[in-house]
Amino acid sequence: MKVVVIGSGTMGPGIAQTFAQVGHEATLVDIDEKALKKGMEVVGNNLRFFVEAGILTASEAEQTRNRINSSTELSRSVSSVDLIVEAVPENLQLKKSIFSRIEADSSEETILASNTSSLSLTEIASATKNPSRVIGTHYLNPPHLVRIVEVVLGKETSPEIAAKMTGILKECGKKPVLVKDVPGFVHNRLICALMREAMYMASNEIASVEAIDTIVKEAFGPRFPLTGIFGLEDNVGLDVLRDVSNQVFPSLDDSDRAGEWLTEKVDRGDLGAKTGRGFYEWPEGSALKTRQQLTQRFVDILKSAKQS
Amino acid sequence: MASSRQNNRHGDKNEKIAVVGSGLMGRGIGQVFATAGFAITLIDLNQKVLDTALQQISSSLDTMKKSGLLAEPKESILSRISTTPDLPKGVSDVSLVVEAIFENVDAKKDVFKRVDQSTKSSTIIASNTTAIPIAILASAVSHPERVVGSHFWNPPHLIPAVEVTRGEKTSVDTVEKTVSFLKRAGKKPAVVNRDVPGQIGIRILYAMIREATWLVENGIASPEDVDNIVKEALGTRLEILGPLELADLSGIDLVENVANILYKSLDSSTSPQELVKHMVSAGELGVKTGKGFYDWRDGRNAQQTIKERDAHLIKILKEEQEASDS
Repeated sequence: MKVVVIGSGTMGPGIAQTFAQVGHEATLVDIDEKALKKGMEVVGNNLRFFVEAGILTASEAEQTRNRINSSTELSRSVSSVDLIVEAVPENLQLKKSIFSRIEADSSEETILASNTSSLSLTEIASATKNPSRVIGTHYLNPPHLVRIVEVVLGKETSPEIAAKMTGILKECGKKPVLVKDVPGFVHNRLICALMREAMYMASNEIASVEAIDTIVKEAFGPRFPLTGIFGLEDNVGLDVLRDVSNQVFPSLDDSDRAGEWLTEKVDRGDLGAKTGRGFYEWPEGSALKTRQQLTQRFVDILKSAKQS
Repeated sequence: MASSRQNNRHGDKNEKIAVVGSGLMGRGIGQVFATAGFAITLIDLNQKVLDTALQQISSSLDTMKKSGLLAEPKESILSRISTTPDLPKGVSDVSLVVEAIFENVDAKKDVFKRVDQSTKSSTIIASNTTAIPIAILASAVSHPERVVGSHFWNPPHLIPAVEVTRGEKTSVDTVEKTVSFLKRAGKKPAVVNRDVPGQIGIRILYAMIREATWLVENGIASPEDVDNIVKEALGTRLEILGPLELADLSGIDLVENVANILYKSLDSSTSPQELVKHMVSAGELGVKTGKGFYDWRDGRNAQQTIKERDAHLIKILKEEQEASDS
């Protein structure tokens, strides 16, 4: 299968890698040569890491690398491919213009997928003449590590395309989940709901930042990987759930925009780990350590998937 | 730091703690304090519950021992635990009472009243409630400044975090003393400054439950698919990072952007959704009735879940112990 990934930014290179890893030819396309160069370096680093972690052999890594090429020429690249994954910045007009163009330049059989995380897939699809073959494939960051991919069904997306895309993703070792086109789909909405309440509580000094994080990590951190949310609800009992919901829902935060507390931090330049301070202080090297711990979790999942 | 440091007993057997209500949580709480070295009295109206409590504590200590998390023979821990159905007698000369009966306002208020009458005014009365405001319980006693929340998580001996909730009249001294007891018992107290419904954990859990239920009720994704996402993408992160740490790692500017895009479409129901109400009316309550969002009719699944959960928690405690040993 031939795949084109458009956009050599945060997600594009890793997405291209996931296809190349299972034997598909992948072309990374970007208007910027520098971005393409950087993207290929990222893939190189990812593959080296996978070899060290025992997920790929050196030979598999080399073969993967050889299956990925790059290009600045969009129209030419998409002319006879099976799948196009768009991963450019979150700009609706930009995405719509790309979709309109790639529909014209590719064959009628090509699946047109968008990695959008916050825009409406249906809106993006409206830029095409045949929206039934437009679908969302929302990868999570980092795409080469996280198996979950949200397969977003736009209003017109055909069930056949959805089935085909799901099959392709499974073949790539991904765990596709079907979701309908609402803002944020599922993953980001859940994270948002979690963060909204956590930030409400911290900004109103109901508890300290450390207290909030400790409770979530210890009480739910270990449970969620085993039961998910609905498994947990079934264990608690829906009657208990209903009663507690009655008590708790009315006072949960329902802000419709980011609060001042957050905006102040952004204005001050306290952006979190990348600037050394956010809700916490992040001394030199501390973020790296945390990211490595997180990476290890995902590596463990990939390795045990490989064994089974 | 970690409660895995069972070999560092910071409790004194001359310091007595009573636990009222010796069911699942009460006996676990008793086990925690006894393991740390305190003298414990388990109190319950029902002698059978007390007998079961001792059996369960004993078998739990066996598991802890086998896992290398217990440095003291279980007999010496058990020797620090006494039981009685006589509440006034059980609480008469203790420093701390932890109430852990079922979540019923009137029943709890009654316990608080009786404990109030049988203890010194310096004794702290803590409740394991998560649903009932501390202020309501405090209204049943003559010295509300000594009433506080101490909410443990199931299973109490395996989860270090405990919410310490300040009622409106709770004194600073009471909070500090409760935090101290918990730290000495190897726990990680998380102070809740305001008596809000759900304290910390339940509030945040229910904020997620509210959104997840909306998604399923509106056909956005199936319960299985929501859980696949939670298990593998969210849960993996939340084991290492709390929501605010996660925000810092993602970048607060990004979080602000996403908030401004998404908050307005998140669910803001103030009451349980129709889907849940409907399932409750239909008797689909989950594991206990064999069916909820999932089919649990193969009873082994429920037992397996508990076993898996405890094994996972023990693994985490051992990792923490190893990390702090090195």
